[in-house]
Amino acid sequence: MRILAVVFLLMPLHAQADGVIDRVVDEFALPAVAAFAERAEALNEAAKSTCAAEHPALRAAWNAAMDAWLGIQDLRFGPLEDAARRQAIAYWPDTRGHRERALSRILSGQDPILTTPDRYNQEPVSARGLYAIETMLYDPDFNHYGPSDPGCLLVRAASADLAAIAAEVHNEWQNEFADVMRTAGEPSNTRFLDSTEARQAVFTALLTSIQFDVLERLGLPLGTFDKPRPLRAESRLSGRSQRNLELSLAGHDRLARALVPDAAANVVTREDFERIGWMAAELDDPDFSGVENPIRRFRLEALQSAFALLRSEMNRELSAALGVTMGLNALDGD
Amino acid sequence: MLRSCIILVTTFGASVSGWASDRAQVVETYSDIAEAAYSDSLTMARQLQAAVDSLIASPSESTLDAARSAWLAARDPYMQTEVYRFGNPIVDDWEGKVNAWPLDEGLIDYVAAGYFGAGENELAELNVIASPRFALSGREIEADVITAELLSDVLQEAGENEANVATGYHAIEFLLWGQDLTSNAPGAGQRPYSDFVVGEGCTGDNCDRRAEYLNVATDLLVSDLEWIAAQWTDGGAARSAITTDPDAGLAAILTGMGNLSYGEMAGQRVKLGLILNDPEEEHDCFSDNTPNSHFHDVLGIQNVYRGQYKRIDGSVVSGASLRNAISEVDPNLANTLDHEISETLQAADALRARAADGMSYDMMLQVGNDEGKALINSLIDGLVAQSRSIERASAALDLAGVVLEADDTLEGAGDVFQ
Repeated sequence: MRILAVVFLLMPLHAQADGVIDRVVDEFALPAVAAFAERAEALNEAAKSTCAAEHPALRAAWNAAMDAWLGIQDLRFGPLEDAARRQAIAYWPDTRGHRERALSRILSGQDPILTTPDRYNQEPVSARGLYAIETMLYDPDFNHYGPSDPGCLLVRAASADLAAIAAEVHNEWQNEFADVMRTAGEPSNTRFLDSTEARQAVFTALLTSIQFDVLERLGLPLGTFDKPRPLRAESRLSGRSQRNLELSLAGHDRLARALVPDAAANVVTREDFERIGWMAAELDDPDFSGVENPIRRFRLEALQSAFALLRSEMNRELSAALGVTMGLNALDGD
Repeated sequence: MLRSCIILVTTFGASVSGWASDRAQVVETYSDIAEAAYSDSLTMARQLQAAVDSLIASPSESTLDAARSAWLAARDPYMQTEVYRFGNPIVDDWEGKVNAWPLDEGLIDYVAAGYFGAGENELAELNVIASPRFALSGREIEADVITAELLSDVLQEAGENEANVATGYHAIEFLLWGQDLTSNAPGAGQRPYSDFVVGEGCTGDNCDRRAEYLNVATDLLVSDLEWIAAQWTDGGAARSAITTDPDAGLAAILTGMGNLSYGEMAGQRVKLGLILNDPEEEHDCFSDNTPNSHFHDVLGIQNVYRGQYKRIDGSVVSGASLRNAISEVDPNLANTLDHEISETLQAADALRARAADGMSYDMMLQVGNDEGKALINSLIDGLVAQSRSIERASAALDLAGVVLEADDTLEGAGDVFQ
């Protein structure tokens, strides 16, 4: 018996089912990537039936796809991080003006890609994805195309490309990566050597996403008091900067609850989510142009502080509850 | 002073009680390498300064070539110091003076038609070399003489725009090469030496001011490197910061390696150029030196990991290393990370080889260049793989959470609102 016990101790510890990971996969990731794939395909269908920039059905389909993206943006590990899919879907911010240059180049015919739209995935990320389509639908410099113009072909090509990436992400999550997460720590799993690594990946992704809200979604348009940058607000063209922020926050909240469902283990985090959700909903500043108005600016700055505090509280509470600390952050570097 | 040569080979078989002193030796080696590499960077910058002086004194093909060669040689040791950026606030706060990038070069000098600056940069086409007077945020600036103050205090990040880079390696690179207007064939920027000929024969106009600018920018590079090299000498602030608490020092080493690998290179510098297919996103875009600069970035990571740096004079600085420290707790991990860094270095070297063989980096970035894409992707994959091991190393060394030592935003409001 004694020998047996020793042998048992020497055997590698097989991964135990990790409730945290199961919840993240089943309650957060899989439904969200399925919804995104569905909305992206609906956008593709809508664009096939009409590419008219101001057509309500096309705009509604684009908005629904954008909403669904904000539900998966926190998945900063796995399929969205492979093959630069995150950037292909959502290349933003673009403070150096890559998008307009890339779209202009294609529309001017310098690049014959529109004759082979199925190869649109070869194009630079600045010409692909949700924000490129947003520019085509909402930017007055781009949205005056007719049904036989290159603009129409571009919207269709970009929508089809987006639907294809969304389907890939869905497929890989469902058929591969969900298992990679669930089998963290098993000998065959080289991605996550133990379940702590899988937890850490999720935890790091969540904190990184909140940092993105602080530094980019809010920080970019806020600029400095002397130099606010309203033109840098995300989705300013479609007038949904505030909506993006609210949906981003709602996504973080869902992911945090999947990570730590026990309210008692993250009291402050929960309070913060509730308070910030209310603050964001009350902004009444759809495109963040308020950064230039002292009073409205103050609200946005307060919201930014609140996001930063949320992140810091969450770091403390969730780190303790999950037994992990933050790993490398993709936003570090510049 | 470089002490760690003497204490090499002391860490093997150390007991747990010996950890503290071993870790102290690791951070000493790390500081010694920093001191040596910054000092080498300074030496090479002084050689660049001498070459620039000759170019300005007698502009010709050969003096311009010599200045370009000196710039290229100066990049090699400097890029090996980039691993010190993250994790060392003293370095991070300073490095923008010397290596800020990407830049709107139209701020500095003439550019070709069709040039685009960054969005919202009203100075993107200032061309200060042609503008002895200009308006900046409603203020009239007199720039009759091009001075260090003009570059550092007025133009650098003017208008709160990071694309306004007036100083450092890349500003000098632009002055030596000019814009690289060919991205579908080999060939860097083609600035003629006559751009520096004062009086008759001057091309590009304002040759005197161009020479003045180049001279001031090169002097600034030298003085900035003098400053940082001094921070790593005995009693220097950067050395003290890293050696006071060896555990925190090890954490900073991992942070530097991890953030350079992941956030900076794999996430931004290498990846963005590729997925944007934009030669403007090439790190050394005027000189086409990017493969070399990536290579030396990775070599710097290896230096720090192995506790060994080969100086420009061929001598070697070495001592107790991070690798030793990890070996004590997890030899497999230590070997894996070492192997991964070697693979990444090979991937970067493959870029150099292909560039030497006729496919310059900007050609690799072209839409539809599958071979170039594969070459660059293999560098990115290597960087990501080694990042995971760097994260694991922090756990193995019981330094969990270290990687966010540099993450001020986690401390609440903090630096977020700068």
